[in-house]
Parts: sequence; structure tokens; C-alpha cells
Amino acid sequence: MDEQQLERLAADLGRERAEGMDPEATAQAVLRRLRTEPALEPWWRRAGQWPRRHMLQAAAVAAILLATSFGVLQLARNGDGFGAYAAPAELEELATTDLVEVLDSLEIDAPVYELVEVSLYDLSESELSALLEEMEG
Amino acid sequence: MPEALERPSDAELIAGWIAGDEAAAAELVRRHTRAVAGFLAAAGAREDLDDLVQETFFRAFRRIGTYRGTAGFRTWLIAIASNALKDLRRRGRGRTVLPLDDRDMADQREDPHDRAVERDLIRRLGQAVEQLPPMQRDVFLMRAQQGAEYGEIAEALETSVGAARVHYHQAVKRLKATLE
Repeated sequence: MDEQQLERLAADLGRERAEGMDPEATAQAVLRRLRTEPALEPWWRRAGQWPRRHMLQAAAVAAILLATSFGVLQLARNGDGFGAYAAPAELEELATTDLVEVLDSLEIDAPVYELVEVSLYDLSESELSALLEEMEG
Repeated sequence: MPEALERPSDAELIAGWIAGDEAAAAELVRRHTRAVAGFLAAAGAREDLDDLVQETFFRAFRRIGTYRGTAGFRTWLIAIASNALKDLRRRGRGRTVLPLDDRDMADQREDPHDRAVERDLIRRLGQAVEQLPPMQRDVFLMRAQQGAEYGEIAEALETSVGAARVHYHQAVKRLKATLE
């Protein structure tokens, strides 16, 4: 099966069910919801209406998170390359498909993709790990 | 004046809705309902199809201010539809996977054997598409089913053009392997 045939078949997926939809009824239903369901205000406006106790709780949680992050950062900097060995250990636990997803999520520029010719799945796990580590510096 | 020239563009209708014109919103729904429904049906929506289509437009109109116009409106809607489907599944509903209804099958060929072969291929393709990772599924359907360009797919899915190409080719590779 070639790509054109696949695309032609894909164009038919869900077609009959889509044609069974009533666009006018959908439009009216959507308008009804828009009229009756109030729009959510942005969180920063809603935050202004929180009770004082909730504001204090949120501030306390933020302070704890900040202190924890700072501590972890210090540990990573001073702890004999703590950060350096943590990443490969995690990478080793990933399956090939997961590694490909991670590589994809890095949004590499086109030249790199041209180089691998959209065949990341052809690489072994160790090759993918090496590539990912290389790109992460 | 020919009717086609009088038809307002999506951008004009969007501007109308932002200004509070409900008729503009209704026209956008009429124009794109079937494309959104086709995507959702292919992506695995079953009895929830009506609700999901409504939810997609509802979310789109509520966050219309975030639409930058760099991707086509329809492609942007498809991305919202994909998120609505994902949210539904995350809540534990909509997981019922039923065999594709016969109505989903293309029925254009007259020869009974050809028709049966085509039906079988579409049924298997539908199942294979549902098994793809969500990003590959979305990119594949946006391009193969909706005819979107890589640039607007990348914009709608907030990824790069290169990544969209990779996802598409990985999807094609998997689908061909499944169907052959």
C-alpha cells in the first residue's frame, strides 16, 4: 500500500458519521451553552476574591516549593555531579518509543531531522540515549 | 455578485463573534461541524460524538482571544477537539471501543468484492489510527483527512514543522506495517 492510497482511505474515516451530524442543531446547542454558562474569569482575577486564609495557604505552599527547589539546586551543584548522573539513569529506563517521543518533544530544527531521515525508530536504545544526551549537552 | 464572493471568511466571522455577533459564531459552527466530527470519529469518539463536537466549539469560542490566525481556524479547532477527547478519556468515560459501524465504511464501489476489500481496509485503518500515539494520530488525521499543511499543523499543535513531519512519517510507517 502506498502513501496516496493510505491518505485516500484516511479521508473516508468517520465520514459517514460526520455526515450524520446536524450542523444547525449543533450551532444552536453551542449558542445555548455560551449564553447560559458563565465564562471563567482568569485566575489572577479570581485570586483577588479568595478568602484571606486561602491566600495565606497559597503563599505558604509557594514558599515551601521555592525553598525545596533551592535546596535541590544546591545539592545538584555541590553533590559530585548529582545532576549529571541522574539523567542517564532515567534514560536507561525508557523504552525506544519513549526515547523517540522525548527526542521529538525537543523540537529539533529541520537539518537534524533531514540527517536521520525520519527514522528515529531505526536507532537502538543506546544510540537514542547517546543522541539525546548529546543534544542536552 | 456570485454567492461565493459574498461568503464571509472565517477571519471575518471570528471578528464578528469577538464583537458579540452570535450569528457569526453559528455560521462558524455550521461551516466546520462535519470536519470536527470526522476527526473525532476517526480518533475514536463513539456515542460521545455530539457532545464532543459541541464541547470543541464551546471551548473555541470561549478562548477565541488565543487564536492567532497563523493556523487555519479548522486546524485550530481540530487541536481543541483532540484535547476535548483526551480530557474525556482522562475522566474515565468514552473508553468504550466499539467496532466501527458499517456506516463508517466507504461505499462508493459497485463491485461487491472491491467494496468488501475497501471496507475491511478502512475498518483496519480505523483501528490502527486509534492505536497511534495521540500526537502521531493528530498529525496524521490533520494532514491525511483534513488536508492541512505541516506549517499550520505545527502551529495548531504547538510543535515545530520538523517534528510534525517526523510524527506524520512515523504514523504512516506504523499504519502501513499494520495494514500490510
